[in-house]
Order: sequence, then structure tokens, then C-alpha cells
Amino acid sequence: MIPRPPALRFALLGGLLFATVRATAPVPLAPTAPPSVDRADLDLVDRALLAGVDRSATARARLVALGRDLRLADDNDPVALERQARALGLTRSDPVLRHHLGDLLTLAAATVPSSDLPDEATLRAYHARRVAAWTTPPRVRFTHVYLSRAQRGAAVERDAAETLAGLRARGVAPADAAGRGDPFARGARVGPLDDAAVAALFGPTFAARLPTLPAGQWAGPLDSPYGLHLVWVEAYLPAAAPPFERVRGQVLHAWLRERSATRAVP
Amino acid sequence: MRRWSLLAALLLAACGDSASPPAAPGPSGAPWQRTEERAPCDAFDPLRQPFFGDLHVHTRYSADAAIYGTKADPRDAYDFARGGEIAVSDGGEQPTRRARLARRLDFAAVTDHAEFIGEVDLCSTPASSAYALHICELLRAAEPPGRQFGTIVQWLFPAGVDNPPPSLPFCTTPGIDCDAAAVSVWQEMQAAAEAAYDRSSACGFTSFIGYEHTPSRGGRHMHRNVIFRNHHVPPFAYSQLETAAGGIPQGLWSSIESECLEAGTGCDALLIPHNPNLSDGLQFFDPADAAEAQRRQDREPLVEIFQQKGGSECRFDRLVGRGVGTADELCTYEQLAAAAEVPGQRPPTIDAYPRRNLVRTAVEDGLLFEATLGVNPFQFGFIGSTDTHNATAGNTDERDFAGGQGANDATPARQIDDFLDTNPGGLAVVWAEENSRDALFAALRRRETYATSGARPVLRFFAGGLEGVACGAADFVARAYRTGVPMGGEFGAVRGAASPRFAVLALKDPGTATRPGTDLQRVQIVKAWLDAAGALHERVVDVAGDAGNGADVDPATCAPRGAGAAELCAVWEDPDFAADERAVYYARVLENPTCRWTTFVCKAAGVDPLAADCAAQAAAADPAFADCCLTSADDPFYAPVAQERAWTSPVLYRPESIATLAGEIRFGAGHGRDSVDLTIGIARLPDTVPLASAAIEVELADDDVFFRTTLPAGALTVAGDGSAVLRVSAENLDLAAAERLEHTVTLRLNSGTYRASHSRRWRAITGGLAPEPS
Repeated sequence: MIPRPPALRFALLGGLLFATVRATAPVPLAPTAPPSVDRADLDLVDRALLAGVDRSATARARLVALGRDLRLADDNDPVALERQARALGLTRSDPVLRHHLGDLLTLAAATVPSSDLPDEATLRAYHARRVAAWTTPPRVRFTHVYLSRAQRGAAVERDAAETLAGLRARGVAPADAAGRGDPFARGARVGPLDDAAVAALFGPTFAARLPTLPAGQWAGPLDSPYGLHLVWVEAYLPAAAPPFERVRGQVLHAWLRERSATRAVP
Repeated sequence: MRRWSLLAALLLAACGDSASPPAAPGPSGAPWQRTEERAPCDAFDPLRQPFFGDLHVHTRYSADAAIYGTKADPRDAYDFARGGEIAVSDGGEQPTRRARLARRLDFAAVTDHAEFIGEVDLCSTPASSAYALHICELLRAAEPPGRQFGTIVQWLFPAGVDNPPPSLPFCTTPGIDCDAAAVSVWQEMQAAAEAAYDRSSACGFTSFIGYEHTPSRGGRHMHRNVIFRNHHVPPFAYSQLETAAGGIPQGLWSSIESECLEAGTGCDALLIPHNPNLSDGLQFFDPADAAEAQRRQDREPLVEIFQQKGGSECRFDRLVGRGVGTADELCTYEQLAAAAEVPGQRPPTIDAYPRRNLVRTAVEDGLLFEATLGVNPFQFGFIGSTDTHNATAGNTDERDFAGGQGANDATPARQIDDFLDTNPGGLAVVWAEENSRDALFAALRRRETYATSGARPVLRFFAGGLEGVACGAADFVARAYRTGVPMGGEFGAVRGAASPRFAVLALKDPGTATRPGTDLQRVQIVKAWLDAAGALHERVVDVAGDAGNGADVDPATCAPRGAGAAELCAVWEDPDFAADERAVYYARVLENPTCRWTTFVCKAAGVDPLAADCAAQAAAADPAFADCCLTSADDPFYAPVAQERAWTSPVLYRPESIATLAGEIRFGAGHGRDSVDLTIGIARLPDTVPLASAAIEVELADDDVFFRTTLPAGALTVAGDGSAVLRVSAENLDLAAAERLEHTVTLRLNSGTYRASHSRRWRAITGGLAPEPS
């Protein structure tokens, strides 16, 4: 066999491989233009290589398969096969790989070589402009003593007033109030929850009145679809914006997503 | 289409978590491991809280949703679930409609069909190499609703044949790499879930990564949703196309086992079968042997009992007065006529309807297999979900249901004409300590869940000894967890020959300011049991509320009328209990009657199903609304007024499970000075395993296994009446991994195919922990 330089060997064998694939591929449902190498394709491949997407599992598997078909290593070692395939430039010239890398870039629409990531200042500024997206709404933690209308009927208002008076007079702490009322399926100690979550459990009337209660004392009764509740607000937690460091990953997600939505890929 | 790059996804994955994070204990008192990095939740309740969610949501990534014209993607679906407004496609497949939940969800999973996600993506991306292909044009074409069937067949038919091809034919064209596209889409689904997951201490929302595995053998649905515990997921979403060779669903089981559960990556997953009502009896087939039964029990702890394509609990034909193995007249609720989507197959009569199309009868049959094989393959917990193909997770309000099949049912005429027997879908409710992936997933796996038909009642259900549990007692829930098992649990002869107790506590849906919740009508307990002769039985008992409360709806306005209950409670004992008869029990809660969604749509179209002159109105209206006037007198299942409901996961009574447990564990002074001293009572030995002469593995666990030992053959002491006692006594142990405060401890016995568990909240005693004596 006459030794040929690697590029020429690819041109013959790769071309033969390509032709074989073309000949045996099932007839597509509609005519398609055969893949061709042009400047735009190579630009995409170059960007893919720069971004390291040729390290995708599919790309590497394709390189190993090509290396095996071309017998680029004697012992079929995948590492050696891949290395030899890359050395031959198959990443750029194999049509299947080329389109795979191009498709990855096209589908992603936002190539991110390390030089293209936002710097810290950019990311912090982005976070500051959109801090509401990562801000936790105000929340409340409370304990309640529940008096069931189903259990007590018309006496529920009287029972609530008497129980409240008793809780206050004896200085009963929230943790010790468990036995003073009726069982509530959701439990006695709640939260911290925002007002939408409170409404989802206790109804809108309860949720609307809850924020008006002073913290650290028994108050009420508050009305729910189920009965009356004597409430000890343990803490009001104001809206909180976690520090940038805690949400950095989410901020980067959002920044990249927004950038990909505006970036055009040929 | 804009989406994350492969590299970006990899970068961001590297930012957060390592490939195999160390298992860490959960918060004190939590019986589960934390398998991810996140802030502990501020709202943590050791007695658990109810979280409402949807584990079955499709977006335009699903081939059928794309054909139907849905434009929303997974990020839109999560935005919607969290309370945001999104665009929904109209009848022309244009995103002109807007939708928003009145009450956000606590959790959701986007579960797009894994089949053809790469192809769909290539066909939807303008610059892709496949975009101009005819089949891609078909996908994108805004075909008239109802004419999309041809496109559906051309796209999805391969998923319905045995030995399906690995992809659509165009994927073999040089330059078109559908697998690469599928990987990219799968990574975007993960990225969308990550962006939606609240990892802060507010724990406002949990997303689960998942997908749907969609075999439809000749139109017989054998679908499952794959739900992953955390972000450690397989590199590929293995669809029916990849797993078919292994059988249905064994191929999927094998894929999940090798690519997730046994992959050593920290991956964990469970599978949720759904729509057995369209499976022609194939969804729950007989297991080949005990090993296969155990495999199903391990892989599939839950079933989706209710969703847009009907309810699967049970079935009763009111016109002939018979049901499928039942006389339960409430089983007319949300039934589809057909038993499968086999072309040309006529809907079966009630007597020919496949028994295994229904969850209740499958659960009953599970008792038979438990008796004969020693393992129950159908030990399911229950959830509901929507299966929306509009990306509108949890959009279950009957009063403004705008469809769930894209353009197909985007107009009132189409809804009534072609989708009358669908419904807005249901919800999954999970009792968990906090709203995080680990906590919710642990609850899903232990089946502490219930399903609703779309409303949001709050429902507790316990079984066991339940000493001191009473409806008026403020410590109802705390005592119930100490003296019994919650929904989804199993128990033995805890009271000997006397009936165990069953406790139900139900709160009505509180509703919103503009839409108050509907009062409850009653609570029932459904019991199924296997008698000594091997025959199955079923009984439904009202345990609280009033079936005859006379509640109805105002025919003019659909406003509910009449008395009901905001809260119902009962502690019930089974008068027919027999200690040697294995049984399942679950609670079903019914709201007072309300108008079905079709009644609202029909009224708005000028054809009032509740009016005496409905027929005349229909004659003057668009023929599409003719079915508005169907009544319960002329349809076996449909009714314009219905009762929303909820179903708890069943509790399972097994005569050979652990009946009694007494003793304690002690924490000694110094390392390695701990001890265990337990006496375990079993009322009846299993028939399938010679337990008296076999070695028995004993485990104690909270968030991890903190004690394990194997007792040699003969350790069991058998009494003359067939009961047995196992004594576990060991000293000089290191039980440092055990929590020291009151919390749930699970005792497990394993021997061959025999497994039994006893799970209760143990009390903290001086220097140790102890179960409530029983």
C-alpha cells in the first residue's frame, strides 16, 4: 500500500464512507440537499470546537466509531481511536460530526466559550436590575388554636372568647397550647408562609386579617371556612432578597437564557 | 428556538453540585436523606404538611402537543404552575389565549413524551437540517382540529408497534442527528426544572425532572411517568423506542435500574403508571413470579388514578345497574366509553370491560397475588394529575376549563362535540415535612399521598391501633402517627382479633375570595378483602357526613345549594374484620354536588343542560352542542352535575405483617455503648416463606439505616396458635446515626420474598427511644 499523508487518506476513505452511507440510507420522505462543506459550516464547526462541544458524548462516540472503521489504532482502544481521529481532523471534515456540532450550536443558539461568559460585575448588575425575580415575599410564622364549628356548633364563638381569655390570663406559650382546641388536619404550627399559601390553607378571610395581628401575643379569633382560630404570630419575615452569592447560579441561568433569546445564529 | 447550549448546561451543573454529592442527613426528625445542595426549609413540620401539585404536564416538546399546536415550553409550564400567566394556543394554533392559576401549585413535573423529542426539536428549529422535510412541515402545520389524526399516526405510530424503530426515518439521513437533538432537549428540560426549583429557605416551589414513557401497543395505553428525585438523572430520556426490546414495562424497569438506581450517581426515580382505563387490561398484567411482583412493587409505588382522560378508580353503568366487580353507584364518575384507543374497537359493555383497567380491582387482585406469591405487585398509592397538553399545570377548575389538547379542544364547540368525556384533570397531594425534592419524593415513595379530582380538600387518613385518637382530641394527628400508619402504610394484627381502627379527618377546599370551596357531603371507607376461600370482596361504608343532605345546585346559576360540612371526622372500626383475611382500605371524600365543566360551557353557548327546554335550545344552536342535553337517563356515565372527590392511598392490612412492637433502644454513655431490645410480634406466619426456619434480616431506619442484623434460622418463637415472636436484643452497638428526638422510625424484616415493615413515630425517653407500646 502506498503511504499517503493523513489528509489524503481521509479524503479517500472518508469520502468512500460517506458515499456508502449515502447509498444505503433509506430514502428520505422528501428530497434534501446533500450536506456540503462551506464557509458557514466551517465557521459553525470552529465555534463548536472553541466552545468544546466536540466533547459531547455523541461527538466522541462518533470519533471512536470513525477511528475503528478506519483502523486508526491497532488495539481498538477508544482513547487512542479518538485521539487519532482528532489528529486526522475528522472533527472538522466528517459530515455527520460536522452537522452534529453545527446542530448543537444551532439548537442552543448561544455558544458559550469561556471568553463569552458574563464577568462578575455584569452578572451582579443584572441581578440588581432584576432582584424582584429572586425576592421572597413577606411571610409569617404562627401557632393557632383551632375551634371547630362542626364540633362546637353555635357555641364556637363563646368557646373562642373563653379560650382566648384563658390563654392570655395564664400566659400560655404557643408550644404549650396544643391541647386547648380541636384537631386541625394541617397542624398547629404553621409557616413561615406567604399570604397566598396562608389563603390556600385557611381561606382568604383568614389570610387577609392575619397580617394585622401583633406578634408575640394571642389574638383573634380569626375566621376560616372551618371555624375560629386563636393566633399567636411568632414572627413576621419581611420580603427578602437572598444575597447574590446564594443565587448566582440562577442569575447566570437567567442571563444566558435572555442572551440566547436575542442572539442570532446563522 | 432559543435554548441553553450544551456547554452552558454543563457549566451550570458544575457551578452547583458535584457529580456525586455525599448523602447527608435531613433536618432533625426527617426520615429521609438530603441528596442535594439546598437551604433547609424554614417551614418544616415533623407532622407533615399537605402540598398540592401536578406530576403530568406536556409542552410543545411532546410530539402530540406540538401537533396540537401548543407553543408553550417547559419553562412556561413551570411559570404557570408558580402562578404566572402564559399564552395558550387557540383553535388556529396561535398563542392568543391567556391563562393563569387562581392558586399556584406547590410542585410540578413537566413530563414530555420521551419518544421523538429529538425529532420534534429538529422539526421545530428553523435553522436545523431537518426543518424543510415534509414530515416536519406536517408537525408545524396548523391543521384543522380533528384532522390532525393523520399527522398523529405518521408521527406516533412507531411507538405503538412491537419492535419499534429507534427513530423516525429521517434521522438516518446523513447530517441529521436526532439523538444529539434529544440529548440537548433533555438537558433543556433539566435546565427548566432547575430554574423553577426554589432552593432557598422559602421553599416556595419544587420542580421534578421527569418524562413520560409512552408505549401504546396497538392503541392500548401502557404509559408511565418517570419522576426523578433530584438532578442526578440519566444522560438520555429512555423512551419506548429504546426500551421496547426488554418488554413493557420490564424494558423501562431495566433502563431505570441500570441508568439510574444502580448507576452510582446519586440518581433515584420512581414510575407512575396512568390511564389504565385505556389499556385494555394490559397496564396491570399478572406477574410472572414473585420476583417480578416485587420488582413492580419497588418500581411503581403509585398510580395516577384520575386525570383529563378520565377516572380509573372503578366503573358502574347506571343504565344496566351493574359495575365491574362492584355495586358502587358512585363509580359512574368521569368514565370514558372505550377501554383503549384501538382503531375500530367498539366500547365494551360493562360485563366485558377489562377488570385490570381499573385501579380498585387491580388493588383487589393484588391481594390474591400476595396470598399466592407472597408479594403484592399492585400495592399502589394514589395521585391525581392533569396530563394537560397545554402546559397549564394544575388548571383543574371546572368553572373555566379551556381545554387541554391544544387546538383540538380550544373552542367550546370542539370541547362539547369531541371531548365531552374528558375533564380538567386532578391533583396530586403529598404529606411531607417540607416542600423540597427529597421530602416530597420520600412521601411519594412511601405512598403518603392522595388524589383529588381537581379541588383542594385537606385529607388525613390513618390506620392501626390508634389508641387515644379521637375526633375531639387536639393531638389527633400526633397520636395517630405514634399509634398507627398514615395513608399508604401497612400494618398487621395490631389489636389481635379485634378490628384495627381507621381515622379520617377532612377539611373542605377553602376556595378563594371569589370562588369559595364546596362543602363536603361525606367520607367513605372502601374496603376490599380476600376471604379464607380465596374469594375477593368489596364494601363501601359511609363513616361521616350525610349522603342524604339534599344538597344540589341552583339550576340557573350552578351555585351549590344546601347544607354540607366544612369539616368531617370519624374514627371507625370494621365490624366485619377477620384477622386472617388480608385487606385494603382507602378513604374517599365527596363534595356536595356541583356543575360539571360541560354545564358551564353549554350554558355559555346558550344550551342549558339544566333547563327543561334544553332540547329546544340545542335545536336552535350549533349542532356541536347537541350533547349538552345528555342526562343520566340516557347515558351510562355522564351527568351535568357531579361530585368532586378525593381518594387517599390505601392502607394495607397483612396478617403476616408486624402486629406488635415493644421495647426500646438505649444510647449509652460513650461510643459503642448503645443497645437494642425489641420484642416483635407476628400474628400469622407467611404461607410462602418458611419464616420459622429461615434467617431474618432486621433493620431499624430513620433517614438512614442505623441498625441492621441478621438473626439465624430458628430465632422466631412460634406459638401454638400460629403466631410468632421475634426478640432482637443486642448491646455494645454504635447507633450514633439514629436521631435522638421523637421521630419516625421504621422497623423492617426481610427473609427471602417476605418483607414486613412497622413505621411509627417513636418517643424520646430518658436515654433512648421507644415505640408506643402495642
